[in-house]
Amino acid sequence: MNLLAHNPPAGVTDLQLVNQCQQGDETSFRQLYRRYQQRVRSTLFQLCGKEPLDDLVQEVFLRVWKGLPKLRQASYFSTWLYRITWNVATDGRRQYAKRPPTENDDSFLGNTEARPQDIPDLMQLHYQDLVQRGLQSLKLEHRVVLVLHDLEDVPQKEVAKILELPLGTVKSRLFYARQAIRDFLQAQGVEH
Amino acid sequence: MTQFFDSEKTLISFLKQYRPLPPTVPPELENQIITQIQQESRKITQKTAQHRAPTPWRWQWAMSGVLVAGVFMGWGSTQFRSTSQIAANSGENEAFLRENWSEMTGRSNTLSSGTTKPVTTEWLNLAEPQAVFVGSRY
Repeated sequence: MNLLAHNPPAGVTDLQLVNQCQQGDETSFRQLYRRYQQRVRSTLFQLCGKEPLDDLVQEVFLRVWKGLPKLRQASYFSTWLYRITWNVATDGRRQYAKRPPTENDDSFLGNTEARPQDIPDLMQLHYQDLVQRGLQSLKLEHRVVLVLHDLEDVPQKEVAKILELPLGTVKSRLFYARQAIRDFLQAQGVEH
Repeated sequence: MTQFFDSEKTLISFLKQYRPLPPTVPPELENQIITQIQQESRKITQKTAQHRAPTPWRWQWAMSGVLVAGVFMGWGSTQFRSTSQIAANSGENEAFLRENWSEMTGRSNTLSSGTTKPVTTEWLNLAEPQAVFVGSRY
């Protein structure tokens, strides 16, 4: 059930951490943050882009802290966390749409910042740019399914729970999302 | 090219390989978040403390409420008593009224038959006042 926790600290399970957090233990929350922030960050980045990222990550973890006392099934923590991430992403996009435009607006859903360690060659940069633009070209409800399932390895049933959708809807959205991004990449002349 | 993306697996692995990477995490972000949740915890603690400890103004409101309710209840009970008394006396009143009415109607009957003139006579008097006046001298 713990979809996100790939490298938990030895001896402490997610369930224990969540239970301790529910009793107000901030140190356990710090551990939870360290364990999950990369996935949350990555998902938010695929959905919302670079500019509001830090604020959105902060908002997600703040909502998690506030909501933890009400979380009855601690074993569903990761599903719950992804749902909060999705809610924050949609709220963030709505707020961003209301904001007056600035010079950096194109960075909301695009413009991958190339880090020094991520520049092996120009072809890689080119492909990264294409994938990003391909994701941008998808409708948000298609993109989120593709990001969660294909990029974050969340099972379809869990995606359905996170997005509160029937499993059939998730499957059909995944199909259309893949088809659309495939068409986009092929139209851009991607060869392998 | 088309063959490459025919398989879903190859498409997914391509997407994973070239997925856009988020910018590096600012080192201060973790502490910012922890500071925020600490502030949030303080707020919650204060709120719960306020809920638990009844403040003096709450007591005042409660007491005044009780007083107002008491006054209304007292007033209501006296009103109830007076209406019930009226209800109890209503039988006597009704008998009294009936008696009075019958007395009055009986008296008026005797007056009309004995002392007062019939209505037709009065009309005649009004019609011929002179004759009445002459008649009254004798």
